[in-house]
Amino acid sequence: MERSVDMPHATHIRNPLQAIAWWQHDFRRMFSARVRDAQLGFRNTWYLGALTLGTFTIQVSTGLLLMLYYHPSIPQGYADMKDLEFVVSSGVMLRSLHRWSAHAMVFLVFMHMAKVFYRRAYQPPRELNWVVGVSLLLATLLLSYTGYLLPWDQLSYWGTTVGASIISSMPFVGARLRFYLLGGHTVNANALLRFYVLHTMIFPLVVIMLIAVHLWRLHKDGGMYEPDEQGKPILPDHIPAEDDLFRGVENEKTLSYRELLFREIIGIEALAVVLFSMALIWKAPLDELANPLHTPNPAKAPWYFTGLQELLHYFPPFIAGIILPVLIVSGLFIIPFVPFFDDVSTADLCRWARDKSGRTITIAIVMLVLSALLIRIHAWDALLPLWIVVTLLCLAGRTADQQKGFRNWVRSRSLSFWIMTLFLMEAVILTSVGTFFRGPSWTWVWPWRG
Amino acid sequence: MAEEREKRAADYDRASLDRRQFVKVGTTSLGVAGLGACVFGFRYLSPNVLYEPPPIVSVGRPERFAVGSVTLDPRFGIFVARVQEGFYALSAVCTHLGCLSNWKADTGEIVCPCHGSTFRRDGTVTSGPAPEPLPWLKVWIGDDGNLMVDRSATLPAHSEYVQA
Amino acid sequence: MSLRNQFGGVWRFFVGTAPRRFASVSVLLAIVSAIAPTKDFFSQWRHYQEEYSHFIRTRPDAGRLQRRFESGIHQIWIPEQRVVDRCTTCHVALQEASLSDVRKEPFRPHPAMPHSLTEFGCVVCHHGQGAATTVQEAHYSTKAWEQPILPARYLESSCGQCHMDALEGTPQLNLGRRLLARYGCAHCHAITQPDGTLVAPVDEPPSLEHVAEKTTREWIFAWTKNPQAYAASATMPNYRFSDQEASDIASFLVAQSTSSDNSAKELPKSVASLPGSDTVQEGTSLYGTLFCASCHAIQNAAGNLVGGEMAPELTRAGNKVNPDWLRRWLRAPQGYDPKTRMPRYRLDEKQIALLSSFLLSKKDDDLLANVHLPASDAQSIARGKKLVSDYGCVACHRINGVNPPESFAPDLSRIGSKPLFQVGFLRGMPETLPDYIAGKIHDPRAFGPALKMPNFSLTDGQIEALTTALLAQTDRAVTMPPELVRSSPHPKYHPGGGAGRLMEDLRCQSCHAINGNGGDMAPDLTFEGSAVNRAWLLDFMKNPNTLRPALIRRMPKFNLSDAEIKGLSDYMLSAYQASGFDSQALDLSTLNSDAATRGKQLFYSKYACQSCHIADYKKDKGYVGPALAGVGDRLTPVWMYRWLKNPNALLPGTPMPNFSLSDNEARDLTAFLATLKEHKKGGLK
Repeated sequence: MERSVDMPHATHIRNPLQAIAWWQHDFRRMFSARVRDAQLGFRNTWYLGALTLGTFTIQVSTGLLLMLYYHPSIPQGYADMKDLEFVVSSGVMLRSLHRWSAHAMVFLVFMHMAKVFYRRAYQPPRELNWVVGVSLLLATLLLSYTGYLLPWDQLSYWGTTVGASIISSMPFVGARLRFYLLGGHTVNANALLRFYVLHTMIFPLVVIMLIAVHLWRLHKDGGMYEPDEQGKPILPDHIPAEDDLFRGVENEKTLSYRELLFREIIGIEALAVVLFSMALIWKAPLDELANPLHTPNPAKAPWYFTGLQELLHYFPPFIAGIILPVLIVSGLFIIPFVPFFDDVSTADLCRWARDKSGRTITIAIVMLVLSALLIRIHAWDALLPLWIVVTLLCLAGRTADQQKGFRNWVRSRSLSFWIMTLFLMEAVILTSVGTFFRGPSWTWVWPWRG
Repeated sequence: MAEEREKRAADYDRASLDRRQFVKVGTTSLGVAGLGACVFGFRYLSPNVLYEPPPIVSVGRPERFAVGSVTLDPRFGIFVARVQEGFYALSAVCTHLGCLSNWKADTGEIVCPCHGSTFRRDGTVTSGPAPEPLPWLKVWIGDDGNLMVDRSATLPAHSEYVQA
Repeated sequence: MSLRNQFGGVWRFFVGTAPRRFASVSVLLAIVSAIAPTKDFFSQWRHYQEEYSHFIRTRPDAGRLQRRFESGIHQIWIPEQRVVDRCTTCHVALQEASLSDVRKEPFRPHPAMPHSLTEFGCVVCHHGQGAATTVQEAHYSTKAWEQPILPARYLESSCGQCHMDALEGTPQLNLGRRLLARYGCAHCHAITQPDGTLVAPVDEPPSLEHVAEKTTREWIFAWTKNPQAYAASATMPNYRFSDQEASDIASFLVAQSTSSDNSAKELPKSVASLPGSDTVQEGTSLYGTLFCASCHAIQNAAGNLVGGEMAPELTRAGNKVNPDWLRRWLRAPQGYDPKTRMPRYRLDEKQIALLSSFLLSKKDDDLLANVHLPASDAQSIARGKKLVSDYGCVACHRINGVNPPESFAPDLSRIGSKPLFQVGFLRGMPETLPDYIAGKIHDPRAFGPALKMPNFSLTDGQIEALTTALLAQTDRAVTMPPELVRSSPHPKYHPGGGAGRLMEDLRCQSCHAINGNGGDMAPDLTFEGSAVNRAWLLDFMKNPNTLRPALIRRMPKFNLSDAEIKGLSDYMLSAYQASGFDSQALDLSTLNSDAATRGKQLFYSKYACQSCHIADYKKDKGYVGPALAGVGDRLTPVWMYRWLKNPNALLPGTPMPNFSLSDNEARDLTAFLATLKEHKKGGLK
C-alpha cells in the first residue's frame, strides 16, 4: 500500500536518479503520507519534535568532534578541556555549543512532551508512541547525567557523587547498582570510563533506535495529530499514490510532506542560529579540577536536576530520590492507558464533590493536613502549586454552568489536565527555586542580593 | 479564512516546490553547508599543539662512544656512529615501513626485524625491501658538551663528521 | 510608499514565503557558524605574536630574530612532571639574549636562570596556569584555576621546593629559613622539609624548672607582658597578656620552680665586698678581656647593640638576676641548666665578683618601677597553670608539671599549597596566599581573637623572608622523590673520649664547626690537626690571641690546666687530619732561603697578597684575611702549600681565590711564609 506502481525495487536501481528516488521514498516514510494545511502552521506543534531532533543532531555532531580531543582518564580529561579552551581552533565554541544544546535538548524534550499531552496526541492509536517518547525523555536525562561527569571538574565530580548516592538509597539493590554503575566504591577512573562509554556509545544508540521507532510510529499512526471538533483524531483513510504527492497542491486540504519538512528545517536552523550565538557569547563554565577532598558549597546539580535536589532538601533520599521519581515516571508512562482521567472533567469532579456532604469536608481536611505537613518541613515552594490548582478547581466549582470564558474553560478541563499541570508547575517552581534561590548550604538567598 | 486559503494556494503556485526545485535547493544548501563544515572541520581537526618529544635530542657524552662503534639509542631511534673522522648519526627508522632497526655487531650490519632489510654502517641498503638508505642526521656538540642530534634535519651521506 | 509599507516590503522580501524564510535562516546560520573560526584569527596570543613580529623588524639583528621566530602556539611538554606550559606563546623572546635591553612585556628576555626552560618549564617557579593562552587565565586567579602568578619578591620560594642547601642566589630564602629556625617557629609548628626531616629550631629557650632561683615574680611579670622592653633583641614573642594573666603566669612559674644542682652547693665567701665604683670599672674591663661580647650583646649608650647574638642580651641583666644565682652560674653554668651552651670558664672568685658587680650594675630603674603584684594565692597559681597549658609555653620552655602539647599549632609542611577555601581572609586584604601568610605573621590575633599565636617583633623585610621560606613548603616539595632533593646533610658530630668531654664542657662547638657541626663564628676545626704546628697550638690554648685584627670577637681564655691543654691539643692534632698530608706531600728541604726570597717577591709584587693579608704589622694593612705575621709558627708547611694550591678543596666557600699557582710558585711562597715567625708569646690581643 505504501509503494506506488513504478517504484524500482532496491536491486534494480540502475542510475543515480533512481537511487535518489528510492532514498526519497524511504525518507518519505518518516513523514505522514499527507499533510493538511492546518497541520503546517507553527501554532500546531511549535515544531518541538523537530527542534528536539535538531538539538540531538547538533549534539551528535559536536560530540563526535569533541571526542577527537578528549581522553577519558584522570586528570587528562580535565587537561583536554583546557586544551579545547585554549589551543584547539574553535574549541571553546564547540564545547559551549555542546553544553547549551544539551540544556536546550532537555528543555525542548519536556516542552514537546507537554505540548503532545495538552493536545491529547497520546490517545489511541498513539499510545505506543507516547511510551517511546517518555523513554526518550528518560534517555535524554541519562545522556545529560553521564555527560556531566566528563569534564572532571568540581561540579561534575560532586554532582555525580550525589546522583550515585541517590541510586544507592534504593532498597536491596541500591548499593550493588551503584557499584556496577561506578565500577568501584567511589567516583574514580573506572566511573569516568563507564560514564564515557554510556554517554558516547550506549545511550546515543538507544536514543537513535528509539527515534527511529518514534518516527516510524508517527508515520504509521497517520502523521501529525489533528483533532476534529469533538477532539478526536482524524485518521487518514488511505495513503495516496506517490505521483499525487509530487504534483504539488492537488487539493486544498492535502499538501506534500515537503512543506512540513521545509518548515521544520527552518525551525531547526533558527534554533541552530540561537544556539550558535549563545555558544559564541557565553562560554560553557569550567570549575577547578575535581578535588575528592573538598566539596564546594553549594554543590548544585545541573538545572534540570535542581528540582530533585530541592525535594531532597525536604524529604529523605529514598522518598525524594526513588519513590517520587518512580511514581512520576510510572505516571507518565501510563497516561494513555487510563482514559478514565481524560474523561472526567472539572465539572464532573465538582459535582461529585458536592454529591455527598461529607466529601467536600474530607477533601478540605486532606488539603489542610497535607499543607500542614509541608509547612512543617518548610516546603513552601512545593505547596504553592498545590494551592493554585485547588483554588482554580474551587473557583470553577462554585458557579453553575455558565458561558463565561475562563471559568468555562476551567470547568471543561479533564482530571488528567490538572494532574499534569500540577506536575509541571511543581517542576518549574522547584527547579527555579533550586537554581536561583538556594545558596551555600542550601539556605535561602534572594538572587538579586547576590 | 477562504481568502487566506486562496492566498496560500496562490503563494504555493508561485513558489511551489516540486521535486526538482526541492532537490536543487536542498543539494545547494547542503553543499554550501558542507563546504563550511569542511573548512571548519579542517581547522578544528588539525591540532595546534603536538604532544610529541622535540626533534632535537641529546644522546650523551662523546666519550661514551668508542671509535669504530655503532650504538643504538633506543629512546630516540638513532644510531650514533664514531669513526676515525668523527661522529655521525643515522636514523634507526627503517625506510621500508617504519620499524626500528637493530645493529648486529657480529656481522657489522644494521638489520630490520620486520621484513629483513639490511644496511651497512653508513646506511646504504645491502638487501631487503627498503627503498632508500637510512638518512644521516645533523650532529653537533652542544653547549653542555653533550652530543646533540636533530632528528628532523637530514644530511647527504658522508657529508659531515663531528669532532669530539 | 510610507515607512511602514517600505519596512513591510523588506520584511516580505526576506521572510514572505517559506522558501525565502529558508534562505534567510540558512544565510544567517552560515554567518553565525563562520564567526567562531574567524575569531580564532583574533586571539590574544596571535596579537602578541604579530606585535613581536613588527617589533623585531626595528632591531639590528632583525633577520636572525625573524628566522628564529615561529608563529603558532608554543608548548613546553614534560610528561613526567605533568608540565604543559604555553607561556612561551606570548613570551616569545625568553631566550633571545640580543633583546636584553628590552623592558616591554611580554618581549623581555628572561634574566639568567639556573635551570633550562625545556627541562623545568615555567610554572614550577612562577606558578600561574601554564596551559592557558590568555593573560587573564594564565596570570590571575580565576574560577577554573586558583593559583595566580607568584609575585616576584617571593620567587626564591620556588627554589626552596627542591633545594635545602643555602644557595648563593637565594638570599631571602636563606634568611627566611634561618629566621624560621631562630625565632622558634618550629617549637610549635611542625614543618617537614623536602628531605623528610623536621625543621629544627636553633634558639634555645631556657628551662624554667628552677626559675625562682634566678629571678623574681615581678621580673617574670614584666617579661611576659613585653619581652622586648627588657631586651630589644629578644626573640620571645609578645602574647598580649593582660596584667591579671601575666601576674597569674608569674605566680605559677615561681610556684612550680624546683631546686637546681647549683643551689645545693656551698658558695665560698664572696670576695666582692670591695666598695666603690672601682668594682664596676674593673668588672667592665674583665668583661672586655674575657670577650663575653663574642656571644652576649649589650646596648651601648648610643642605643646600638654591641656583641653577638648567640646568647641572651645583658643590657638590663641587673633587673633580672638574683646575685647569688649569678655567682653560682658564673662558677658552673651546667649546674643550673645542663643543656646550656655557655662554657665553664674556670673563673676564680675575684673574677666572679667583679663580673657580678658589672652585670648587676646593668639595670634600668624604670623597668620594674611600677610593677606591684598582689600576693600569690592558689587560685592565681591554678589560673597561671591553665594559661601556661593553653598558650603552649611548654612547646619551648621546660616547665615542671606541664607536658609538651601535641599538635598544638597547625602543621606548616604544606602551607605553600594551602587551598584558598581553607583560608579566612581579613576584610579588605588581597586574597592571595602570600598576603595571608605575611599578614598572619605580622598580626596573628587580627585573624581571630581566640587565636593563640603571639606577636613576633619582626621587620617587614624579615616577614617577607619568612613568607618566602614558608611558601617553599608546597605539596611538590613534600612529595619530592629523594633523588631530586638537593641538600647537604650533616650528621651530628660529637667528639669522644676525655678530650671530647672537655670539649663538651667548654662548648667548643658553640663557635667552631667540626665535621659539619657547630657554629660559624670561629674557624672550622675539621682539619686543624693537619693545619697547625703543635707548639703553636699549645701556646694558643694557653693564651688565645687574634688572627684577624679587624674582628671584635675573640676566643675566650679558659684558664685551662697544662694537662688539659696537652690532652686537647694531642686529640686535635691526631684526630682532625685531612687526607694527603703525610710527610711525603712536600719536600721540606726545598724550602730554603732562596725559595723564601723568591716567595717574598711573589707575595708582594706578583700576587699582591698584602692587599688582604698582613705579613708585617708595620707595613701591611690587609684586613680581609687572617694576619700572616706569625704564620710560620702557626701553620705547617704542607698545609700552606696545599692551601695555596687549592683553597677551596680544604675549606669550601672560602673567599681566598685560587690563583692557579704552579708547584714552584706555591713552594716559594710557602718558604717565604714559613719564615714569618713572631717571637713574642701571646701575640696581639
